Order: sequence, then C-alpha cells, then structure tokens
Amino acid sequence: MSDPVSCPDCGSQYHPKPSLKGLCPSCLMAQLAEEGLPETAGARTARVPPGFQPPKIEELAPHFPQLEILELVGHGGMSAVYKARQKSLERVVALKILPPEVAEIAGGAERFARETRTLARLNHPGIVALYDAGEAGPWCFCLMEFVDGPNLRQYLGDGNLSPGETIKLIPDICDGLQYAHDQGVVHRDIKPANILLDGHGRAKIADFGLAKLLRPAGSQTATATGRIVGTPHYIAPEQIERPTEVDHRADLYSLGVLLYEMLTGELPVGDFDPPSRKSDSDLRMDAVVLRSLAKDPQRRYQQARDVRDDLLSAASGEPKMSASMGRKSWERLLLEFFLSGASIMTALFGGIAFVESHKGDEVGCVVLGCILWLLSFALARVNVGWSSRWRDLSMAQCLATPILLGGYLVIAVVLPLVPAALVCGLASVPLAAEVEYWQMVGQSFGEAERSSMLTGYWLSTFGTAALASTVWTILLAAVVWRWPSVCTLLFHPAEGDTAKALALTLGVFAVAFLLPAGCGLLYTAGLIHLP
Amino acid sequence: MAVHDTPGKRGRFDSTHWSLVLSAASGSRHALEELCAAYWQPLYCYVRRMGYDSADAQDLTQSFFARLLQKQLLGFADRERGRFRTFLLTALRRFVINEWKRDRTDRRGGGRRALSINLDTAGNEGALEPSHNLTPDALFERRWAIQVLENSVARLRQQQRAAEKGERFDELAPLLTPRADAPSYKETSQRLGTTTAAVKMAVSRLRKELGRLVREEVRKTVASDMEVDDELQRLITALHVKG
Repeated sequence: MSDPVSCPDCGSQYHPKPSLKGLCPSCLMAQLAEEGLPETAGARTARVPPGFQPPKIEELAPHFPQLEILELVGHGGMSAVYKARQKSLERVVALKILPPEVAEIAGGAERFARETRTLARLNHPGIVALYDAGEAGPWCFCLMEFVDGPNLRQYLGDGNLSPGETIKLIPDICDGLQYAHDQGVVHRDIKPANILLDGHGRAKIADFGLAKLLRPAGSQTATATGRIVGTPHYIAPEQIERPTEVDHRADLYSLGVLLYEMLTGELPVGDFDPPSRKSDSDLRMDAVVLRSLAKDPQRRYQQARDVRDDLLSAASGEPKMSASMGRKSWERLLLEFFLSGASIMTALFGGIAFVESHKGDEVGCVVLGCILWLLSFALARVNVGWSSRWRDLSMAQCLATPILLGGYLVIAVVLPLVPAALVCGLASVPLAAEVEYWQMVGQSFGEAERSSMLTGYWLSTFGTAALASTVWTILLAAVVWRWPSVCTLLFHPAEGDTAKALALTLGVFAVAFLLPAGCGLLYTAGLIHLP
Repeated sequence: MAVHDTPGKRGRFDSTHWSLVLSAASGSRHALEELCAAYWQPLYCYVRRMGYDSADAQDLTQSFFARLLQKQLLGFADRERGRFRTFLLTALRRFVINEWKRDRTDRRGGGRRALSINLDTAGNEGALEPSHNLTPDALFERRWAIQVLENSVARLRQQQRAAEKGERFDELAPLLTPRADAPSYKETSQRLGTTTAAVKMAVSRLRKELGRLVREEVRKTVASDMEVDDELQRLITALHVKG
C-alpha cells in the first residue's frame, strides 16, 4: 500500500492507486466536471439517461408566434439556445428554452417571474440583456439579446490570451459585474462559457442569476441543485464551505480564476505559480490576480471596479492601488480616519504654535493651518497610495505610517534650510565674524547705537544663508532626481516616480522662493546693485 | 476475487439501476452482489472511521453485505426514494447499532455465505484515506466518489483493452488530469510514435468517454434520471472539500 501523497496541483492528500493510474481523484473529478461531465452532448448514448433534449424547432414554433426560430445554436444539460428573429422589431434574438422542471425547481412560476423581473432590470452593455421570460407550452423560456460571436471558452481553446487582449476584455466584464452587484444581483457561475464576445471584441456576461434560479427555492446548499452549478475550479471556496454566506465577492473569486486562465491558459489549482511566471504578463498583474483569488472574501477585492482599476493601472504602468482594499470595513474606516486625523492634528498643533507666537493674526493662522492640513493630507494620501508595499503591511504598521509621514514632512521642510542654519550658526561664532559683532550678538539688541551696525551684519548673513540654501536645495533636487533611491532612504514610502516628483517640487521651491529671497536680502544689504 | 476487476464483468445489469436490482424477486443476486462488491470499500472505511479496529470492521462489513444479499435489510431504507449510496449508509448505520446490541458470536456470519470481498486490499487501507479530520459521513462520501471513479477507470481500461488499445491507454492515462509532474504531451507522443495533436485528441476523447462512464456508473446508484446530476454534484463536492 502506498503512502498518502499530497497532490501537487490541488494540495489534497490521497493514496496513489493503480486503479486510478496514480491520479489524484479530486483533480480527475474536477477535470471531468470541467469537460462537461454532466452535459456533454456527444458523449450521450442510448443507455445514458437523456436528461434534457432540446425540442425541435417545429415543436417550438407554435408556442412562439411572435418569433421566427432560425436554428439551434447550442444546448447543455439544462437548457437549449436558439437563434430567432423577432418579427415585430426585425431583430435577431436568442431564445433560451429551459425544461419544465425549472419552474418547479425555482419554486413555482411566481418565483421564476420574480427572479426574471430582477434580471430584466439589468441594462448594461457588459451584460446580455433579458427581453422577456415566462412559460410557453411545457417549457420555461428567456428571450435574450443575441450575441453573434464565440464564448470565451471557445475563444480560449486550450491556450491563453496575450496580456493586451486580456486587458481589453476584463474591463467589460468588471463593468458588467459591478453594475449587477450594485443592483444586488450576484451571478454565481462566472466561467469562460458564460462570457460572450461580440463582433466588436466586447465581452458580455450571459446567464446572469440563472444559477440562483436553478437552485431550489429556500435551499441554501449548492449541492441540492437540480444540476451542476458551475465547475469546482471556478467556484469560490465559501460557495462550497459556507453556502449561506455567499455574496458578490464569490463572483470576484470566479473572475480571478477567469483572469488567471486568460493570462496563463491554466487553472489556478494547488500551489499555482503567479501569472507572470507562466506568461509574459506584467509582474504587477500578479498582485491583482492573487488578490482576486484570496480564499478569505475579506482579503479579496471588494468591488469589481477595483479589479478593473488595478488591472488597468498595472497594465499602463501606474502603480496606483487603493490602500483600503482587501480590509474589513472597520479597518478601512479606522485607516481613513487616521490618515485624515493625523494630518488634522498636525495642522492643529502647527496652528496653535503659530497663534501663540503671532497673537492677533487669526486670519493668517487659519490660512496657514489650512495650508498645512492640505499639504500633510495630500502627502499622506499620495505616499500611502503609491506605496506598493502598503498592502502587505499589518494593520499596526499602517497606523504607524501617518506618524512616520509627519516625521518625513518635518525632514522635507528642514532639509533646504540646513545650509541657512549652518551659515547663521557660523556667523555667530567668533572665528567667522568680527569680534565686535560677536560681542554685540551676546548683548542686548535694544540699544540704539548698536542696532544699525547689527542690521548690516545680519542682512549679509541672511543673504549668504539664503544663497547657500538655494544652491543646496537645487543640488539636493538633482541628486534625488538622478538617484531616486536616496529619496526612498529618506522617505521610506516614496519610491521611483514619487521621488522624481518630490525632486521637481524641491527644485521649483528653490528657484521660486529661496533664490528671490536671497537676492532680495543681498540687494537690501547693498552687496549687489541693480543697474 | 480482486475487487478492481469486478466492474468490467457487470455488463449484465448495466442498464438496470439499483432499486430494480433490489426489488427483483429472483435471479438478481449476482447483479446485487456485484454492485455491493463494487461499493464495499466506502462502507468499510466508514465502519473503520466509527472506531472499529480492522478485524471488527471486516466482520461487520462482511456480515452486513451477507444480510443485504439475503435481502434481510431491505426494510431499513425506503429504496424507492433514495440513492444506493444513502440507502447503504442508512442500512449500515442501523445494522451496526443493532449488531452492537447483539451477541458477538451470533454476529459473525451465522452460517450465512459471505460476500467474497477481498479484505486484504482493504486491510491496509485501514489507514484508508489520509483525510482523518473528515467526519465519517464526509469520508464515506469522499470514498464513495473515489470508488465511482475507480470503477469507471477500470471499465474504461477494459474497453480500451477490448479494442486492443490497452497499452496505449496506460501511456495516456497519466495525462487525464493536467498535472504539473505528468509527462508532457510531447514525450508521450514520442513514446507512442505519433503527433502531439493526436495525443491531445486521444486524451480528450478518453476524458469524454470517462465522463460518460462516470455518468453511467452514477446512474446505477440512483433511482431516477433526474437525480444523476445532483448525485454527480455531490460527488464532485465530496472530493473538492479538503480534509
């Protein structure tokens, strides 16, 4: 007897047996299910139960006088789809015929009608529209928009798509999903066969809510269905383990599987490699795919639009990630509060300090406070948002970030003034300044006979300091521009493009403020003369 | 009798499902015996998982099947409404409870002819399934699902052998699941002296045929056509839930 081994693909433990050729039973069953175990039309023989046989066009025609039924375009275990022409509107439609039991499974005609009413309200270019539904003769039917093109399963075949193609299709799917989720409708069976591609290369989601419809009313378990809903590889873990807790995020998991398959041509089973290792997709797309595939719904993307946004920015090279993504709602609230709160605190303390030293200038204080708040808030958001590491940080580290950012802010302000401080400091030691001046510094400034001498001294000192600061700041900006890693070292979350932006700001700051200030001071001191 | 060879011999009642087999007045003992022989392992696992040691579990399973074959247990479950799987499990549960109360010596066969199941292959499988954190019921379902697969694969092999494609099947079988460590299509095609495309096609056909056989196998264990998909879904789920 062989020892149990762990399946390299799905991770489950099993005994390799000669009777199964050493294959993992879970994978084998999943593979069969995926290849249409319950619905493979060609595999049916006389001995196999017939299941649902698509009715002939002649049988259907009397029940649909308003339609001219053209051809059967496809059928599965629980439905058949016909291409038809709606006579009144001269348009081609898709007619989906469901077996009579569907009404029973769905919990009677009333529930069928209620559910289809909800689905009919979904009106979005990314969703196959439902025109009509009801009962006709022995069948239930849905009249839908006809999409002239292959489904994604056919389109994918056994291969994968280029990242470019994937990027083109996924936003449509995300938009459609987001729209439906906003309306409170969950698909529950997102898989390549349910994504239709039209003639313009747009993707449309088909069979919205059908999975729910085909589930017995009141039944909470996915297993008590009249048919196989989805295939195991596309179903979110909670759909199997905790069917009562399934919400729209289950669709986002399936979307992740879809995305992975589109990029790599394989399914993410077991300890799967990130897409970038299996295809030429961007490294940044890995993060998007892996987050969609998180086992815990809380750690997953919470909205389809986030998937789209991140995917698009990953593709366009903009490292834009929403910081609160994948966190619990209270964590998100706390983070938002802290990010805004910390900067408000900064502004408050700054404001109070200013008021203390400038009594009477309340308007100035308010303006300064506002500027400070805006500045720190913007800096905090930008840094947090741009940090690719942010998502991997623990909650505690996230909360510490604004405090660190406060420190960075101080450093950023102090840095350009370092040479100025040095010059002023040097000017006040006896070696650099004349003894006479130095003695005056140590004494009272109030005496009238010394004040004029002092003014000249301080003006020249400040002028030199401002000039030194300007040169220093420009040098600093140049260094940061050339070697952004220096900036990363100083301001941990600021990386790459952020550092360049900061360098640019420093340069502008130096040219626009420090240089004129220095010139002005030197001119006042009479060291330079205007023509 | 080697258990894994049994499915191939069951051509006689392929078109019949278990409730008919059970209710048939005569002549169906062989059919029933073979059906039981094909599905004794999950039951044995279940008994083991209930805490019986290997010897006791063998005794219990043996005598359970002996009684079943003498149709003494049919009243235990409403066979018209159920599946063979649930029927067996319900019957077994009741049987074990009753036996528990009964005298031990009386339990051991009582002169009844035992079902010839090969307990040697089961003995080691006492370790059985590695998924020991599964409940007995979940383990039973998992084991049942595996049994369905094993029987189907055995029948597929039988078919292929009959068509003198036995060796080819053995080469292609590892490709039935898309495993990372399986030989590649290319290697296999070189070994078989054919093209990669042909191998892909052949594997795809084998999968389809296996899927069909699994359906047939499941059909035998449920009362009506309507239940096949549901039973399949249960089996898929049983294998999907990780222990």
